[in-house]
Amino acid sequence: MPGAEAQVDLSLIALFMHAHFIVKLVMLGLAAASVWSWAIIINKTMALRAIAKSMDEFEDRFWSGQSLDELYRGLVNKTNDGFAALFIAAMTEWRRAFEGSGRGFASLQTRIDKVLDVSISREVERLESKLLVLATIASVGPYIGLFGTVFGIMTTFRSIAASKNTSLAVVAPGIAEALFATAIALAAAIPANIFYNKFVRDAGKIQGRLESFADEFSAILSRQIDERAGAVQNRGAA
Amino acid sequence: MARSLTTLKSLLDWRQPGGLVSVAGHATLLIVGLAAFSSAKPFTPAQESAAVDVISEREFNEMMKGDKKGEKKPEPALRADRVAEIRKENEPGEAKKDVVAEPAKVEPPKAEVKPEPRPEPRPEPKPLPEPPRQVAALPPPPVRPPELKPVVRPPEPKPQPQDEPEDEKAELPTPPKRPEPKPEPKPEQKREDLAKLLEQKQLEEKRRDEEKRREEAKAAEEARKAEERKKTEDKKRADEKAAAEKAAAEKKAREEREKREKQAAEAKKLEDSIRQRLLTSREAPSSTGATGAQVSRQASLGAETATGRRLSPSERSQLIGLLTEQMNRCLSIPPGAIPRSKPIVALTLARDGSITSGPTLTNPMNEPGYMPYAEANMRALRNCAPFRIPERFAAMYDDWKSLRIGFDPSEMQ
Repeated sequence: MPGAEAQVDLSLIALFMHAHFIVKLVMLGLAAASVWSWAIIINKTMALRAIAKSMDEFEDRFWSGQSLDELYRGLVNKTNDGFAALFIAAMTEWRRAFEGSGRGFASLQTRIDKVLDVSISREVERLESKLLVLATIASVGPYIGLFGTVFGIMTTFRSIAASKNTSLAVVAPGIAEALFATAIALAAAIPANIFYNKFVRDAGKIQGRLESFADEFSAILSRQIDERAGAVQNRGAA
Repeated sequence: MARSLTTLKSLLDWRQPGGLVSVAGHATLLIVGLAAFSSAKPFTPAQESAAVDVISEREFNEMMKGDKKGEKKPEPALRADRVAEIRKENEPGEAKKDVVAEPAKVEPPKAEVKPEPRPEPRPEPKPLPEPPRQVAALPPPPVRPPELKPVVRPPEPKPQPQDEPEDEKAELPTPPKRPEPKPEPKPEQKREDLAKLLEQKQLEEKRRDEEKRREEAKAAEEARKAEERKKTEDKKRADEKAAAEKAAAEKKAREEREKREKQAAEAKKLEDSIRQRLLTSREAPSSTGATGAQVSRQASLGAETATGRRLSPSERSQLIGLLTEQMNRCLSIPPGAIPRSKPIVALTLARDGSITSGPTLTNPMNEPGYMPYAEANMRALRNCAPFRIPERFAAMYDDWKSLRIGFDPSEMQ
């Protein structure tokens, strides 16, 4: 958006060319920031939507009454996210407990909880990756633009003083050019700020869902562990 | 470095199309912007509005705004080109004795100016001092050309080249100059008795001169005729006689010419002096201008309020009281019902207290006795017309120029 505006007006293109080196740098940097922030916004929107969709799908399958082992076998070789990632991590830990000696019941519950926590934090980190860039652009962008404006006005005043002419025709182009830096900065910062807030909230929501799923799944597994432990004890007693 | 590379890679990753989409979007915006913002629309210059002040007639009359560059003088005054006649009168009930008008009011320069134009209408003063001299100059032109010519011409045309022109008036070189003095005819018409007398004398002299010359011319004519008669018989004698006559005529002509030149020179001198006087004359312009208590010598600097002095409420009631008091002397209310409502009469006054317009009744009513009462009051106003208005109100003239006076019937009873 701002990158486009930097070269919008023909006369503004000329102004951009006339601008001070530092102002040019600021404008170009802000234009790049705008491109980057929009790239992040688009990617993040798509990613969040995909995660929400896959989580819904997994939830449906999980509560459909399908056997957990079957579900595990269907998912284990794919790259998973959201609930599926939690499920795979917990199931891997579970199966590992029974593959060996099959006597690790005592601390299996704790381990599963830990694994779930770790995978939750990994998922959340993935969700929130690059949001910091948006936050930075949103908060620092206007200052950078202001810096460009102040510098542009400074140079304008210096050239006014040098030309000893204060007519508006002399003053206006320099000021317009200087203000342009602020315009680009605002154009970059405003969407960045809006989408940063939205993404943080979405990520929080997903994190909450993940945690509740983890608690539920951990409860299911703990029941299973207790049942297996009882069965083993019975077998041992028999 | 590696991070930026991965960033770039992620930008080109087809699964994360955000980077490509963003770049494409910005490029599209740039193209659209180039099309939309290709030229800046210049402002249409705003039309400057003219400030308009609404002022009342009174404000206009009292306006004292003046020359910005004028020299600062302590007191602004209403503009006046001439001094208004000063009527100094005692304020009734205030002064017991007649107050002598201050000498300051009569300004010396005006006193000088005024008497001049008065004695005679304006066009006259200019030529007045000169007329006698002009009259003296006048007579010569029409003088004796006709008589002289016949005498001179017949014998021999040769001797006087000046005589050649046959028209009587243009005969001599001098006359053309003399008829010129144009101002003469005008002054003659308007001239005083003295001028007329002089003129008559001059004319008489002229006539005498002419008679004399005519006799001479007659003699010459007779002589010529005799000569012609005798010419065939006695050429010799005729020649002699002609020669003698010629000599006499020449002599006479020369004398005449000298005399005339002298007169012409005098006339010219006179003419020049008249012209000089006319050119440098400092007659008062014909414009009469505004009148006031004093002549304003320069543009007024104006007062801060740009208006003249107003009557204070007490001054106004005082003035109206004075007017009604004077009016009451002429007032005779017709017998009959005295109305309850109060007629209000509008009138405009001149500086000297005379009524310039009105009085007119502003609130006619149907009440019995009202109209006779109002009319009696208006009649009284008209009859007592020039009111004596004390000097101290003169400065506020523009405020009391037009007045509305109410006549309270209850005061009559």
